[in-house]
Amino acid sequence: MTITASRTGWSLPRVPGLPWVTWRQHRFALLGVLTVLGGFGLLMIVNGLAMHADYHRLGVGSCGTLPSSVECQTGLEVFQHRYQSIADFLPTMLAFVPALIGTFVGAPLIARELESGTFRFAWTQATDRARWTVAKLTLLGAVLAGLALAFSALYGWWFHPWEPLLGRIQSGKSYEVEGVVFAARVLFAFALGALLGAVLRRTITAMAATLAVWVGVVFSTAIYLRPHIQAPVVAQDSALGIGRRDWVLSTWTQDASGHHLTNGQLNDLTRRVATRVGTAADPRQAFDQWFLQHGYTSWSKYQPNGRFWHFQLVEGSAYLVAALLLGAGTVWWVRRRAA
Amino acid sequence: MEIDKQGGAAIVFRLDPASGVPPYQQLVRQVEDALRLGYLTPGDQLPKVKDVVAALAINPNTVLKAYRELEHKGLAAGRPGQGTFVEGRLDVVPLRDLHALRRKLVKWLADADAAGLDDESISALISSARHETQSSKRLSAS
Amino acid sequence: MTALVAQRAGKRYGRTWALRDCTLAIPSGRVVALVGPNGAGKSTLLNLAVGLTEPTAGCIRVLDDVRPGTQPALDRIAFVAQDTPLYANLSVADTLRLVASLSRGWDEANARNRLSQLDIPLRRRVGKLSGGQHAQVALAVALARHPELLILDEPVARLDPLARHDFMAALMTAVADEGLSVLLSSHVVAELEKVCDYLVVLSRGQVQVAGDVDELLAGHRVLTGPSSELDAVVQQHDVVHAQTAERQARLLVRMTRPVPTPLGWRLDETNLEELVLSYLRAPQASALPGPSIEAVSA
Repeated sequence: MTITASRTGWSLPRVPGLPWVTWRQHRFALLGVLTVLGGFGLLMIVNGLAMHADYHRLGVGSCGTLPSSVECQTGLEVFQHRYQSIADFLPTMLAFVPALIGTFVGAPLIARELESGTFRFAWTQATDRARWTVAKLTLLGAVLAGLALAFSALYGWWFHPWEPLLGRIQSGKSYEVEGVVFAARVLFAFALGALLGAVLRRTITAMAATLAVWVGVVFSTAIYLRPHIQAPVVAQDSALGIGRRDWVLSTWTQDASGHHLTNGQLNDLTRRVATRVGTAADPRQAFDQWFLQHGYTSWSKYQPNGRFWHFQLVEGSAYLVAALLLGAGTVWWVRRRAA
Repeated sequence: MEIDKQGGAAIVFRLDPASGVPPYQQLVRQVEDALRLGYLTPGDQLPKVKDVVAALAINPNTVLKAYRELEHKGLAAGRPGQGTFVEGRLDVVPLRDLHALRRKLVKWLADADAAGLDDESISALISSARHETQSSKRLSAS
Repeated sequence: MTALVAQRAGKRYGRTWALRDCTLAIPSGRVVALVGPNGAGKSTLLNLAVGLTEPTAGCIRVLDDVRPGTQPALDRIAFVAQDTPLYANLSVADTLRLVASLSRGWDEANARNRLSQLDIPLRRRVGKLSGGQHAQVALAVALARHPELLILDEPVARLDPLARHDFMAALMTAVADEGLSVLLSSHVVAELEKVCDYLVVLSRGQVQVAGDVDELLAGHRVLTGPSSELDAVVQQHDVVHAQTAERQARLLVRMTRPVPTPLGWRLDETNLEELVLSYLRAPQASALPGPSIEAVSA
């Protein structure tokens, strides 16, 4: 009986031990991730090429943030008409991709072995199960981080025309996709999925739990913690206005002595002034003049767009540290409480 | 029709799990029977341990034990590096002793018949007595 | 050299003790059968031996004082778990490569030879193999690591008779070739006598019987005689289990000291199956080696 060498078709160079095992067992999941990111990536490339071309053709770039000439205004309107909706909707949708990617790769990592009983095979070979776990977590984590960072960079290129107009620091928009927070959140979901999978021992349950916890953590940090990463700037609105690029946390109106007006008070005042200037030639200007003359000023508390990278690095590091701790917890759990 | 060759040896072993006889003893008996019937003659090689193990799925020590017992009885001898080979012969019972035994047996059968035992009862009695004798023979040897 | 030493080892899950007060000293170079009914603790003991779990009480050492789960233990011990788990969507060749990647001493030629002799195609996915082939692949990858100790948890429970025979034949051939120690658990006793030479009986989480098969069989006899004399005979002998009918009684007796056969009674040898069943039916009885196990470093 002859022994046949079983290599057919394309053959990869011989990959050593644990990296090969990791690839072979998770290639389906990784290809899924590649499909999702690739799909959105393709969309951004196609749309982005057109958008960048139009941006230059319509001369939007040279118009500045507040266009003065009619040409500029028309150009801006056309640009916005074509691309605003996708610029608004795409980042919000992409914000959830890290959860899906991380969960899809992380939750089955340990859970599938425990669920199907194959851990009795995998963890009794000559490789200690803690080492097996560390190898898988680091290799897959590195691949996921690399793909995510590349994706964020691609997004950054796509979004570039909009940056002067919309800024990128606002919550719930480009901030969630551009920079490093996106990749850090992928790692967070991945490590969280791995740990919950090891503890709960069921893949589907672990996936659901990971998504739930991820959404809870991400939303809470965005709403409660992010505004405090750096003390916000408090500034008076000037004629030029606080740009739409910045992340406005709150606005209020003050009277001459510095008291903040509540919404109720402001509404009353507005109604009274409106009736008073209703008869003026230019009601709008009279309205503004009245407030100016009586010492009322409007203020904003905001985070300027220029702080984007600072915020990204702080928040990204926090998610990264959390991911590392969760990963260490997974290794500990596997070692101590496997069977 | 499938033919399994149990190595290139002269005889084939089989095990009867229901016989109550320990496996190694069954092997010893089968070699002795083969000698009696002429399937094995001095100089023949007994089946290799590995072949017996592969065919019967038994512990190799069992085969080794059987072969050692045969050596002890003077029926076989191991040649290092080659295997175990048949030596010696089984003692043949002298014809005169056979006649005497046969006469005693015939008389006993007549007594049994006179006592009213039918054929099957006689067979049962003989089986039981043989079983007991064999047991006590093994016990006194151990 | 010992294959496995346990000193008062125990494992508790929640409030139940799956294994309790287990003390064993199993010699190496043997084929050891671990028998007992379902739930007796066999899998628990084996899981402890391969380091998949840690004892709640006592300690376990393998291969002369190596701690299970440590690198030396992982290198020298191979495990075939219940239902011979393998990755169903890997091909046989990929399975070989997986074990090779996770092992240090891997004999590729050994594995391929064995599989080709059994006509198992290397390219087929493991999930598509028959039960017998699946078990043979699991055995082949374990043996190709050339372990000193091979542990199997009910390896043939779900195989048809032919597959079962082929599996055991392959296992015994490997024992003949390499002299490895084998520890296998089973809840089917009937076919063990021709395979094992050391026996451990577990019942309700505790060791009931442990010893060399030849010695155990030599140390037990079956007494058959009239039921009317039962009480007298029981007093004189160390009876493990008695089966009584109206007229006839049959006792499995432990011959701790030579006692003459009572008049009118018949003394017979016993076999492994009868021995095991009798002990399982008599939970209070036990046949353990004397207290001569050396202390093991904790």
